[in-house]
Amino acid sequence: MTRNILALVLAGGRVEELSVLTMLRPKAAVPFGGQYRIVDFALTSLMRADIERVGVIGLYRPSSLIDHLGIGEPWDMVGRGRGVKILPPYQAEGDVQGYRGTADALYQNLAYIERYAPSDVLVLSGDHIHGMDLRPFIMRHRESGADLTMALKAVDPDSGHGRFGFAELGPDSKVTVYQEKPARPVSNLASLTIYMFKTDALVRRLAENQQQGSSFHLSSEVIPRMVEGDNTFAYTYDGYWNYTRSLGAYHQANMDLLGEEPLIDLDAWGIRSRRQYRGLGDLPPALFRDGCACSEATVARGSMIAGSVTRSVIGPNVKIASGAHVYESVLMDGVSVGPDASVYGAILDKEVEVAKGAHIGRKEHSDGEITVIGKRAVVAAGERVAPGAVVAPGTTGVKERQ
Amino acid sequence: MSKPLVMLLAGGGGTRLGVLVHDRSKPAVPFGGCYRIIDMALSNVMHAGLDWVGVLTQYQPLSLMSHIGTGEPWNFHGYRRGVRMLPPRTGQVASDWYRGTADAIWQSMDFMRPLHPERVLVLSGDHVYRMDYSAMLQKHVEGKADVTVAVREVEARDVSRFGMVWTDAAGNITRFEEKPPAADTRLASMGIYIFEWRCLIQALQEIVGSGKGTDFGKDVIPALLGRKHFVAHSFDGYWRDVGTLSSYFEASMDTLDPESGLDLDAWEICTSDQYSGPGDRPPSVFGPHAKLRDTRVPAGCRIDGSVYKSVLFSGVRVARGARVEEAILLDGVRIDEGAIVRRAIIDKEARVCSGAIIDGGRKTAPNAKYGKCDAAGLSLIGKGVCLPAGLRVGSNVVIEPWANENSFVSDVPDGETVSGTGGPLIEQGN
Repeated sequence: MTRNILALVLAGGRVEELSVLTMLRPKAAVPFGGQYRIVDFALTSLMRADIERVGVIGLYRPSSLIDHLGIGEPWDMVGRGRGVKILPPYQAEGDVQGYRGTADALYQNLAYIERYAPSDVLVLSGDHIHGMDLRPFIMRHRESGADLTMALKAVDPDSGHGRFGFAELGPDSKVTVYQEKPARPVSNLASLTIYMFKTDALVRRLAENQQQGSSFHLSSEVIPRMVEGDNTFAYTYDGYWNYTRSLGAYHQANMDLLGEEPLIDLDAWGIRSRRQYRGLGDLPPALFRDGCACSEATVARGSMIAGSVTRSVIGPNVKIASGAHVYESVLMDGVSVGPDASVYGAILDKEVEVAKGAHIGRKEHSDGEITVIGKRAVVAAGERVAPGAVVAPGTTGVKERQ
Repeated sequence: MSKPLVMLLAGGGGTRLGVLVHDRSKPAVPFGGCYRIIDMALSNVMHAGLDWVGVLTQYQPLSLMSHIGTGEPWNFHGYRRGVRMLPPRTGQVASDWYRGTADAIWQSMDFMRPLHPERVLVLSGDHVYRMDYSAMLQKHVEGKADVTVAVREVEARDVSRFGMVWTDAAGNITRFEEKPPAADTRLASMGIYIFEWRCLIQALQEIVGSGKGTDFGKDVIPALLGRKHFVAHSFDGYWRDVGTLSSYFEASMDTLDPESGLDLDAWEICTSDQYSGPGDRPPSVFGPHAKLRDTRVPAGCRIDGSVYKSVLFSGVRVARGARVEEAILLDGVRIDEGAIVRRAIIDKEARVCSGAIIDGGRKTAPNAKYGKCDAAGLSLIGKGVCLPAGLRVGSNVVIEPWANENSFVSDVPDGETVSGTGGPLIEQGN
């Protein structure tokens, strides 16, 4: 059923929304949940649907993404007829522009698409967190004979306006109206930016967009044209979805891993990742020392916990010293929190060092903005980093920050 | 200086590990939460930058073969490098099982010869240690030795367990005795040897080939001593032969305290976690009532109860109100609500149902059937065992693999053995 489908994962543009977390890597490569990267969710859902050919379109600082994908064996994408490939922007005669938008990126990779002559092309985002089973979506597309099938999810329109595309449906879930980031949405059905195209319809519309477009984005130019002129159907999905479009959303997604019945069930969703190039596959079990406390948390391998951890996601090789407190925070690979230091409501990128007695984020258990410390920054002993502060990667000797 | 060929002895059945070696060889026994014992030797070989390894297997090699695979985790996968499993194989003379360590290597000439080694490094796959073989190699080459033996100091009371070594002031070996009742030396052979190739094949031909002996420690080393130049390389780091349940248990407990010298976090042990172990499992999850102290927890565990001084493997579940103390719980073990586990080793996929108690660690009569595994009262629960709710299990108890509810007639008193079943319970369809 899933033969003849080529999948393209959009893992591209620089996204300012995740602030210092995306200064050095695309959002798809941002670590998540301790030992994963966000793109693992898209790749796992493709694997589960038996999609055999996957192109990953990346243009912004792709090296960590290239390392992570490798030859794709964690997602079972190696073998005869199977493969995953990074499609970076390239130079051609008289063209040094890179990808001007998502539609342009697809257009520039038409040769890749046509080499495999797929009947359909599945396009999805590499920076969303979900456990969607793509098979019913694909089946819906095949059964309806649509030129385009788009996945939609009911959201609170007040929270989503200006950020998502919204669709209105006619009979048989035919999409009648589509608006990209409208001020006043026509419905509460937001696009998950998962699209399935008949290849010939996609190729035709991409060529047209080259002539007529200005932003060269799928969602703002190609999709509205297809809703008007082609056969477009909707598939509605009501499972968990997180667009990770803000630091708050990213932090919330991490918190959604916790609790008795976590909204994100990594085990049940069977999320796969590459552990080996970060050496995660060799790390010893986390060691919980005398005097530690650990509640409502996840802790990855290689960590050493002597302090207290509550409602937090602790990545690999994290050291939390005795007397330290970590609360409602996300600590990525190799973070160290010194003795009697405290971290409340914060995201600490890889290898951040919080020295003895330092304090990061809000006061104790109060609400407040998320504080973010960039990769390899050092917060000096006894210093305080205010709630909502953002510290650039590599900053040393962080002093009082607002 | 060319790199020595590594011959790794991994054939041992290790009967003193009881039901842990029911269906796996000793080097394949899981260790330290996510490793197998053989990972120690393989990682040492890798860190020494050596390229070719022959693994001599005999007893239950399947889990070992699956674990080693192509050798990629230890960087043995490549154009001019490799790891090969060398099970016993028949040839012109219907050769049979390996009769000893030296015989195993003698029978593997077909593997060794085409690689044209100048030297052979002989290792055991069942020791827990971190050692730099390149220092030993350097000593061997600089000392122009024919044979170099790694040695370490042992307690006087332990000399009868080892091959004991006497040296002169220059560090040359002058005398060797296999497991003497008493000895006025404290230097014990670690079973790690570097041989000059020519010396090795001549010795094997002369001793094994002519039927005079089959074992390095018993036959080959004593026969060569006095005729060849033997050098001792002393090693003073952490080293344990984990061939008995108590040494396996103690080494496991040593992983909880880096001061013990067994520092998993510093040893850079490499492993293959794809075939079993943490694999794709997510990070472990700790519930609101979890309590932990001096405990190792790898991936895929769910902890809602209390766990003290224990080594957990992947996918272990400890329910609310359950208590685990000084225990080793292998992959996928489940401890249900209110159950108590004290000083026990529980093999993969076993389950302790709610309210059951394992009260190991008391000094009692040894286990009648597994007496020689006897180790400080530890109780041993085999793979896939299901301990029924409320059951009480004493010290020095062995529950054989796949024992289920029907295997238990009553509580299990100290020193008893409960027979297992042939395999997992197959549910009858209707």
